[in-house]
Amino acid sequence: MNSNPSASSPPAARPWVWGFLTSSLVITLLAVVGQVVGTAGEPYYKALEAGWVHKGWSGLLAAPGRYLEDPGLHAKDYGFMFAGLVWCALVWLQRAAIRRFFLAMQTGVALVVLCTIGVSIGVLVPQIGNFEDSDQRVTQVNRAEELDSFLNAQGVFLYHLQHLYGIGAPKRELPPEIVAGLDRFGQLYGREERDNREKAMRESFAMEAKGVEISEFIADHEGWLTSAFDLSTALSFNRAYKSYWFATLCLLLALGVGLNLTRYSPKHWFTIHKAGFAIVHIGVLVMLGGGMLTKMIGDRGILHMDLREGPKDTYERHFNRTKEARMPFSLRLDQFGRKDWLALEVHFSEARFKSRPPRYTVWPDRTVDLDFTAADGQSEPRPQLRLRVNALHDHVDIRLPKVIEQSKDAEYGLPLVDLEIPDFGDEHLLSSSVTQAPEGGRRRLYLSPFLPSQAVFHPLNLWRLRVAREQDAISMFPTEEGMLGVLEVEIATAQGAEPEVVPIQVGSTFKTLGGYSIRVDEATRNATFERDEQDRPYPRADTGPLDEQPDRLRAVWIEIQAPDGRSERRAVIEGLNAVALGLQDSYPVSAVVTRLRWNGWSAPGGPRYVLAFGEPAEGGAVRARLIDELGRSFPLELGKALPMPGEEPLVLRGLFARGALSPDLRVLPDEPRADGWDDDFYSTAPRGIELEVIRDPDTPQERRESVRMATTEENGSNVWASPDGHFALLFVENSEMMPFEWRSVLSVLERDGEGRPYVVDLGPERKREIRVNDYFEYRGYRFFQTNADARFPTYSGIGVVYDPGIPWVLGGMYTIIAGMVIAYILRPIVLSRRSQEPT
Amino acid sequence: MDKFYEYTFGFHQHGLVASDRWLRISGWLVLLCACAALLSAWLRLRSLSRTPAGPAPSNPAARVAVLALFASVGTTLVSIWNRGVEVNHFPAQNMSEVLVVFGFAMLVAIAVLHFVMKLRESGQGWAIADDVLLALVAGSTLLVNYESEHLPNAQRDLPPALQSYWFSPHLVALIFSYASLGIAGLICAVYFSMRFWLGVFRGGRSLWSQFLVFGLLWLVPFTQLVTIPVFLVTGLCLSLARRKLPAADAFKSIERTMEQVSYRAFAVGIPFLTAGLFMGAFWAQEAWANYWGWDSKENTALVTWLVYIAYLHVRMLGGYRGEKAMAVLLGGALSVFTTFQLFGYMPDTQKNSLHKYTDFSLPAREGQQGQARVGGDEQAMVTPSQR
Repeated sequence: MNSNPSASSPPAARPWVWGFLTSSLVITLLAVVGQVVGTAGEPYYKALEAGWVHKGWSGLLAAPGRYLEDPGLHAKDYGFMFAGLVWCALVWLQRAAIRRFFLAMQTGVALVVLCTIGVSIGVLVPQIGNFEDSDQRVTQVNRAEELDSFLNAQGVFLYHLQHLYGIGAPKRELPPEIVAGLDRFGQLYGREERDNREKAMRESFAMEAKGVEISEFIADHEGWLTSAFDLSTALSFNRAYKSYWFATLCLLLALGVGLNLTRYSPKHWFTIHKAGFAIVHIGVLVMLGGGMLTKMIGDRGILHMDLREGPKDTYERHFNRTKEARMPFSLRLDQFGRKDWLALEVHFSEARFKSRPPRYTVWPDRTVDLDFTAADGQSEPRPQLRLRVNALHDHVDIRLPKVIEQSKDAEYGLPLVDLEIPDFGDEHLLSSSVTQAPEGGRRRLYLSPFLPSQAVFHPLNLWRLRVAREQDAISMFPTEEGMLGVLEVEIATAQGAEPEVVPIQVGSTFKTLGGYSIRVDEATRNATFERDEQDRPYPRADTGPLDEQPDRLRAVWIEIQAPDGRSERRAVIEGLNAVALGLQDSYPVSAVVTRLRWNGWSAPGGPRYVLAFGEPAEGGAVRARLIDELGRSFPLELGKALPMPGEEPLVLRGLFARGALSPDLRVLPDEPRADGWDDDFYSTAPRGIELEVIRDPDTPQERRESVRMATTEENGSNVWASPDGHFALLFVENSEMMPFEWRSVLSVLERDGEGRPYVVDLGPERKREIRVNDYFEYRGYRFFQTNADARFPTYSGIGVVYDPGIPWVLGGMYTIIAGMVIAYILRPIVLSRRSQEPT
Repeated sequence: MDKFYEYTFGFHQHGLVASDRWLRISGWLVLLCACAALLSAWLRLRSLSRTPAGPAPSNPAARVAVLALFASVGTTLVSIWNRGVEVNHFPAQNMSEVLVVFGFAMLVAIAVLHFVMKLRESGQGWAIADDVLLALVAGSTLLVNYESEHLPNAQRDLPPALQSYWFSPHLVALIFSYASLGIAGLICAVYFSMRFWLGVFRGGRSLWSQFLVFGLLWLVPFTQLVTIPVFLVTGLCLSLARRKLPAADAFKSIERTMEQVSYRAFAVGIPFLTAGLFMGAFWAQEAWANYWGWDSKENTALVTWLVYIAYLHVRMLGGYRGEKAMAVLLGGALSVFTTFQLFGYMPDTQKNSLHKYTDFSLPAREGQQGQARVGGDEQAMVTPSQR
């Protein structure tokens, strides 16, 4: 007989202990299962989605019924139902084990770690275009484009991984002539501007060579990178956040958090030791629940609205033109406004830089110091010019300028020519900084020989006219015929670099930074648009001789040859900023950014004339003569027409040796409505600036002058030239960078019982106005200001969001923050005080 | 070196704007703080065996270090204020400005830790550690400010989305958290370096663990700028004090306290990281009615938060201490660095991340999605390619 009772009974089984590795394997497996099941069951999900989007909960409940209306259930439907039932039964039977699995600390940590990896995948693998649309996939149609993006993105990343801290990356020094130019630039525009330009240039020089190396790297590794792309596509890594494996991970995380929260009673959690952490968990659960609502029921898109059009109820889902959704009401755009930042440019007449001068955004009390020169006897340079902004105005009215002949002793005065010309309309009076004003069907122009860039053109090419000082007159005529103007070329990989400015004519060929070759093939002054066989517009040149074409829309056609062999024929249209319009990326050689600045004076065109402005004779009268291209000279008299072709003459009305021209700008007062609505933002009136120009500031020789300017070329109101001709100011609305803001005022229209539309009273404009950081909500839809387009001033892009999950997600986030504050700020304070209390 | 000298001592140069001038003064003060802290550490080390147990006595170098720390906090704040006036908005729109704010946050964080932890009250050895930490952070701040001066910092107008009251609290919370968590990571780097060198000088550690630590500190990309100097400086200090090294038990106590100090730095930073992360979501909701756009910047910040959540769990529930916990914390610091400095290189960022406002190459684009769609002939201008 066995006296040891334990020897006969088998040892008690030890419960399985989940480790990090085993937990991770199970979770990964579940994610894979989730991906497979989700992909296979996608038709059901899509049917439900089609049913409930925009139809709310009633749509959700009715959706299965609509699916069943499809004649008969198929075998796979039965299969799915059976598999689902089996799965539910298994889960129920093993509920204890499942609970134990999720309650294990290792499982919780593994979940967090795998979620982290899941999010990281989306960072390390470039997501496909518009991945937010769950239907978006890599297909035969878009594969090439997506592969190209993938190769470029991974190439940049891996290249920099190989060249940590720039070690081994190409560096190029700035050529001495550029450094000399920068030094001169710094003397005029200040040390900070100069340093910033230098930094940008160094980066662009390095980027140019780096870009070539990155391209070579991509080419060398294209094989395995393409395989990586295909693998990413197969595993849905390039649409990670819309994939089923990611949704499964989030679901498992929510399950783990929820089960751990219910592990103990609330009394256990809400102590000072644990309350903060419990609240964080609650917040995570609420946030994930809201996220699930967003995924299942939420919808996003864009509504293209126009002031000239009526109400709309249909928007593009996920910004996809082929997918539209309809709202149960309509929106109408009542007002739209877009404002750019106001800026000043300072041009120094003696300096000719390849790149544009800086644009200084202005605001009240801003001060800009310029023109640093070390005066004799001084060791340190000091600013010789200071601009101080006194005020900005939303409305100014432009009146006829006043012109007065100053005395010889007057400190300021500009030589001026007062011309009366036919009123051809604004579009034909080209070239900026021509002071002009309408007067009884004709126009008065005020031109100065100190501003030789001013020019006037007859719309039918009968003549072209400039004004110059007598000694400069002959040199105004171009020595080389056919120079069309300049082409500004930037290489996009050379980040922040100033553009190269290249004079061009038909047939010009030149090389740019980065080794691109550009040839100018064709030019026109009268580009028109036609449509191709696919109804896409394209520009066409006027076939007539260039010098006989009307001046309407100037363009050149260039042939670009990239160093890697790609080529492109591109039309560059004056005034069209392809980058701002979002067209640049669609060009075959998108790294090359081009802009055309046509020179109406030097390009082929009508006969040229120069009004030579002479020195005052004894007795003070100014003499002037007209010189043509053949060198013939014609004396001029006040009140007489200039001997130029055309039926409508130009008449010389005045010659001022020391003219003081002041555009008459009147500030219009702000007049808000009685209800407080101030629609200044929507006004198209020119805006104004009051500026103080200070010469030799902070010295005994300091001189101040108050200047008013406006954002309109009318009367040259946007230009102010110093009387000594040393510099000129240009006041602009800076449309080259992001705008200041854009806003819309909307109205909502519903239909009554008889189907007739009516405007819903939602209050005054203030309540219906949307801005970038202030959206408008109606019946669960949120409308926010997303798009505008400088070419179409009446267009407003309104983002549309329908998402019942938003309040839950935001509530969950606030809860998490509160929990963290309690756990890590409040708890230590309370525990510290408790430990100090006497026991 | 010339440029560094000019930066540190050239605050009197003509032509500097006010913000740059104050930043250079701050740089000088930070250098003074670092040198004084190192001098204090050296003085304490020399008198280590003679100092009785109890709170460490102060010395002039330590007092100078603390004074210089506070002065540099003040001057950096003045620099930031001036920059705000110069650019007419909260100065955190480009990386240069953000780095200055980050340097300020590091100084504030170390000041808070210095007075909250009161390490010097635990003994002379702790006072040395406190001085070395102060010197390391001050030195890092100097390098950060120096780097900021070499980045483009031209005034740029705020895009519409950035004109929000969320701009400054979101940035400040995140940057302060990065500073605090970065300090925690710095302590981890010192911790691992110390273990490596003790293994070299004293032995008792396996080749595998030595190899692992060496690899961690030298080979993880982009971290070498911090880990290698820490590694070398720690080795130098321990080498100089080789004959006076305390017993192994004392070092275990040092390691435990380093782990606790790093946890405290983490505890300061995690609520700010959480608040900063979700403030971004609140802001995005107001700007685009899209609380989470799965932008790569948002994702890297989320990854950082999740890594620290994992650290929380393994430490509080798993009982992780010592090198396991420190390794996770170091991983979090790497994630912070990736989010802060490296996200621009990440593959998904190469497509247009909305957070590339700080990138000067960002072209001016109206709107965030799509192009205008208007009817009729006006659409003629919307042409992707031309004949």
